[in-house]
Amino acid sequence: MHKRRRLMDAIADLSATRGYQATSIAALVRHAEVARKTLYDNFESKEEVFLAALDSGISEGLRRTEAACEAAGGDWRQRIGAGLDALLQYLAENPAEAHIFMIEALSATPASSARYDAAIERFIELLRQNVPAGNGLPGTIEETLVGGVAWILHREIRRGKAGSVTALCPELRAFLFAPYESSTKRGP
Amino acid sequence: MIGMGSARSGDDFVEFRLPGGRHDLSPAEVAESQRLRLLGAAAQILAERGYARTTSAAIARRAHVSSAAFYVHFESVSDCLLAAYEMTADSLSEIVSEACEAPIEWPLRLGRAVDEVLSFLAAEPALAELLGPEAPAGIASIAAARARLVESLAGRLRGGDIPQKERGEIPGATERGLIDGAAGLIADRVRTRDTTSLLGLAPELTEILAIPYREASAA
Repeated sequence: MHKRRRLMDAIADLSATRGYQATSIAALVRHAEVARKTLYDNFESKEEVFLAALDSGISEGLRRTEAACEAAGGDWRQRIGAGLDALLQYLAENPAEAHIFMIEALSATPASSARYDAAIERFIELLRQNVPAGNGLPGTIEETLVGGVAWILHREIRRGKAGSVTALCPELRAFLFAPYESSTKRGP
Repeated sequence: MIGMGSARSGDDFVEFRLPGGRHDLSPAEVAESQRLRLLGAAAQILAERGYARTTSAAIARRAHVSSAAFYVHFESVSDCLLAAYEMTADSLSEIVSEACEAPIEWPLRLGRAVDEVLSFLAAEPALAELLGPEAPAGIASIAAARARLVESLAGRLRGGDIPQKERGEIPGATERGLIDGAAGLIADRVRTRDTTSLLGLAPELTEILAIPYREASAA
């Protein structure tokens, strides 16, 4: 594997298990099995390794979610459901990435917490694009729903259950659908 | 005011300083005032700098107490932030309980609770930011305290006046998720916009929190 990738994987693993702050450069290069010089040939700092790992995890998670929504066809329930499934699947398969995205990013550095905010913003936008139009719900509903899902995931991942977040699918689907279902059923 | 267990009154307890010279406060009252100032200062510093850069020295300086005094009250920065979080959670629970006991219909009680919570948080923006994701992400004990707060508020929401049979099946995550989401929304507004816009969120938040019960009440 490429050494740059190895360093990114190593910082994700170490941050997920012992925390970003507690991860030393020495532990990082040891875990990645590269020389200290290799680290500095590829990155400016520990923070830069962390941000690269975070960016890569977030963009892959977003990419899979978007692709699943698009592939699911015309029904809003199917699109949102497929996007949710794909995201949970990705987090379950990549527990270290899940942990640094949903937990460590928030407390590691100001730049990482800004990355988290930007990612949440993208998920809010994605949800907004896929819900039934003209639903008459408050404009902040998607922000609330994404925030709610983020917290439910946060709790599971913190409990060390990143590997089984897919078990939350039915509950989270119902949570995301409920507002739009009651607004469409209620009629004019 | 001094000696209260919570910041319920909305007093600006961070800036509150004992007058110099002679005063008739007992040592216990002085200590409690210091402790409240430290809690408010800790929330402010966290909001400004993020968890990694929140130090006991900065908190003590902001609260106008010595670094030694900080460690009389708290073992560590995370201990202090947890206490600030718990004080905020207690205040919110108290506000919501009171609003829920008002002799008015359920949807109006919900609206009142939202109004009261938002007014309290608009007056204490640093405490409002504690509701965001940063503090619980950095400190496991705060994550646990947050989960307890959300659980208790979700219980309040569930305890609305709509009879069980009319409510139908509300999935377990729904109320919790809405409250989690609403807390994030509030913290975000405090962080990125002025606190007056917080009060404007009241009608939307009330409508959003009532979503699980809408069909039941329309039926």
